[in-house]
Amino acid sequence: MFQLKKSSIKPYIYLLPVMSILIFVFTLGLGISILQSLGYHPGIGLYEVTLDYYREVFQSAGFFSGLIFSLRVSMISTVIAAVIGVSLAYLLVMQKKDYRGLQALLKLPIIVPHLVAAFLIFTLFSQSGMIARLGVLLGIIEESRDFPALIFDSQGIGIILAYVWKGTPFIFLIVYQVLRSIEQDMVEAARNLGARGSDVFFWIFLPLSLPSVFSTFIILFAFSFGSYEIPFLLGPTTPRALPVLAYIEYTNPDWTNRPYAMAMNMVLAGISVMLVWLYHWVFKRYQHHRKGR
Amino acid sequence: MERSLSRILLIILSLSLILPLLMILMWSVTVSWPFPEIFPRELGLRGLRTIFQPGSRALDSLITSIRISVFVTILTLAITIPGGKALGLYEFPGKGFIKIIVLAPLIVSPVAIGMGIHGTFIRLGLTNTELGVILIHIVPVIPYGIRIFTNIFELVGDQLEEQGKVLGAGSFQTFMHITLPTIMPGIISAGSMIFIISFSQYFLTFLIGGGSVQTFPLLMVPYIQSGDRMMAASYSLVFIVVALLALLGIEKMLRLYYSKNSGIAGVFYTKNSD
Amino acid sequence: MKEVLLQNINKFYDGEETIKNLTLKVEKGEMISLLGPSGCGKTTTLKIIAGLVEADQGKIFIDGKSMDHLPTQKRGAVIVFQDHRLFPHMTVGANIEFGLRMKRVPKSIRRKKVQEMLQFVGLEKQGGKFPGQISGGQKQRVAIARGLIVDPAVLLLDEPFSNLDQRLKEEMRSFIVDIQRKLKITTILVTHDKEDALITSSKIGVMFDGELKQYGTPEELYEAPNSLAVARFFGEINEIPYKTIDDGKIHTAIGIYEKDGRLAELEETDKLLLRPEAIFLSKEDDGSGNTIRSEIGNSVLGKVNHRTFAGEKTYYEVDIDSLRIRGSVIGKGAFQTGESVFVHAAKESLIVCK
Repeated sequence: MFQLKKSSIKPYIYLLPVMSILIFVFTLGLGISILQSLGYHPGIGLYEVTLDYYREVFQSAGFFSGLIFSLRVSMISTVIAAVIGVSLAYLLVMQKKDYRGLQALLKLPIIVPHLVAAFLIFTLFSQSGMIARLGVLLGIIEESRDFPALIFDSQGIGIILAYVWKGTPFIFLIVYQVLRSIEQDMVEAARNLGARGSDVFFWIFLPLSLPSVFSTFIILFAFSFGSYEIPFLLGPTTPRALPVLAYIEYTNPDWTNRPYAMAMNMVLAGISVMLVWLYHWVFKRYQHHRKGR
Repeated sequence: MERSLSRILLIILSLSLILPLLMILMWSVTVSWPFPEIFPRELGLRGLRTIFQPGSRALDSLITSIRISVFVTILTLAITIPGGKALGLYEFPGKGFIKIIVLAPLIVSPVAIGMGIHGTFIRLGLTNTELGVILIHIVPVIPYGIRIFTNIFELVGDQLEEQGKVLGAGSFQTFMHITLPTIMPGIISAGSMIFIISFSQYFLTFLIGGGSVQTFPLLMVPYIQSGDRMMAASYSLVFIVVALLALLGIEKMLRLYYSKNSGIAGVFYTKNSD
Repeated sequence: MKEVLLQNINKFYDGEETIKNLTLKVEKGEMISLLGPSGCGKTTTLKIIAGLVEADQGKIFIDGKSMDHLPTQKRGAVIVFQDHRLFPHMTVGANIEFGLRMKRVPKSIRRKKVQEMLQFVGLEKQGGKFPGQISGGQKQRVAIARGLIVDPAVLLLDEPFSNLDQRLKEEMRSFIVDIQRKLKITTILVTHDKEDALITSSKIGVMFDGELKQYGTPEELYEAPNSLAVARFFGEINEIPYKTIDDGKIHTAIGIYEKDGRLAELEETDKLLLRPEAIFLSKEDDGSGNTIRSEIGNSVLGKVNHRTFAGEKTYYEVDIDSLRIRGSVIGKGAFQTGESVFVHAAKESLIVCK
């Protein structure tokens, strides 16, 4: 490892372009959201800084059920994606061959946009979807309405399925790369000291891949928690996922409703940020021994 | 025994992720497929033909989409390569803070950012323009570029660059002949990622583009919403094929160029090819 | 304390034979070395014993028990790897504890044993640190402790000194010798450094190209190497041309010797070798600047071609007619380039080699 260079001006020059865009679009966007959520919106004649909008938002039933819905859907889908993705990665690492073709195919869902993922889930799991058809074929159900309504349902099962389908390959790919970079040497050493197959998994693979599993988990969770497309296409009318709710509030012709949308956005962002903080807190102790053995 | 069991499990899990894609393929060439039949009753290319009709909105929007994503890719690479270099090679006051800021768009919902900046974009006349859409698309992909280039600069260091300068190369020459080839694997993976994310973007395009900037995903959504499976599948298929071609194209082009023009890149690839 | 026996081990990699018909016996409680240049198959041999690599032919017995198809975790042959291979996500204590955990040893016993082991290797205070936080020498100790704690039948050390600087290396050498004597654990050390092997082991096996060339005590190998290659491996050596003439004496380039003692069995195809330190150089002046024959009989006149001062030793290249030999003397040496000197070697120091 080489020494990091100290330079007074160069790194700032290098960072200038990316930071200008971030500050202009991201930070400004975030800042304006915060201000508007606090009721400061000169454009529509609101000047008074207040927490009222947050209070009202929190008291509204729609928001609360939406928040719970969003949290639940994101958590369940990310946990399932993580379990399947990690299992896949581990199963593949254990094989003698590396199944390149399979790996390439598993990358496909990553380049498929969420919109298409929503469509896929619809064709598979709607009451006239492929699974229902197979159900009829196998004599499990008789007609389309015997099949449970998994799409647009209040449990968000369709949304969960879509996120699982998109998220699993993502987790798989990252964890597989980490597992593969764990040298076979380390495994040899463990086996030589008496470790069996399951020991190697629990004592070597799992702990060494845990930080990246966790960080990927957070990214996926934050993504599904904060994105609009899938709940918009597959979600029920009640409860509505938080991003959808915020957008509806935002497009309300009555502009004085804007602060409500912004307050919802801030709750959305705040929960994600808390997760990142949690991540750093949990894995702070991991920092030092990643430097070397 | 244990191994063959794990192989079966591996293949079942993988197939259950991959096979659903067949639905797109089938529906895109289906004219009629009533419930509860397992196979289409009538095949046809009507959906795809609608998209590829000369002068169709779909074709126009596809070109718009590609144009926007290409610009987003080039611009994002142009700003994240130096950014990654600064974070990968230098130690400076405020580094921790900047690292958080550049990675934050990964976590903070684009819905929140988009609505926040919307008003400002309106005032600046950036809404309903491709420039505005490009600008807003850049934000969510910055973390990917920064992450990849920070890692790669941490890995390769700048010894090669210094060597180039010692041998008399100017800054520009050094960048073109040394820096660029050594970070080429990063450019390919970051470039592909950025392109795909921008190409898939729906919400931000629709919010900032306001319907005037018609990208491919924007045209696709009504079909998904209305449950027009044939059209939705046709759009999806075209989308995936174009995305794949773009990825292959990016990779082939860059590799070809650099294996011809630089020995260093050649070495890099033989090392990293697996 | 277990004995290790390898019988006719063969191993092929990509059709190439990396280990050729290796047979080796290590007595209970003995420490031996496998010595050879890198790529000679010595590390592969260790892995075969440990069960990490399977031999294509041959048998391995540890304590009389056949190790055929026995997985590595059941053999009790523990390798301490060259690069330590400490688990980066476990503390020093947890690394050492690992083998006991794998054996499902109860926690209270584990705790106690780890404490003892930490003390034994002198790392009482490092138990809570991570491998990334300790020095190279300490890592080496942890790696050894991690192996020792499972009470292995045989300890396999793969180049344990190669990543260390000179001072640490010496410290580590005596540390390992010390441990081995205390525990009387059967130990096989693999090294490319003759000094490591000579200092630590009661027997040394020299390997070249997957073949065990000679196996014997350090003295045997040094003084009676069975081939030029083995002799060369233990240090620089001069090959001395000679003729056996009718008088029954052996006429060498550095003197005439009776065909008895060491040379009794000398056959015409054998090589006669001489180490640089066995060459005596002398010079006496007749007062007028001419070199005269010294007290020591049986010597020949040569001319110093080159002198190299190397601190504790000085090397001379001496030409005797067309033969150039290298000798060394302790200290600065009294001869200058271009001087005439007498060259002499005691019969006992001559090495006969097939």
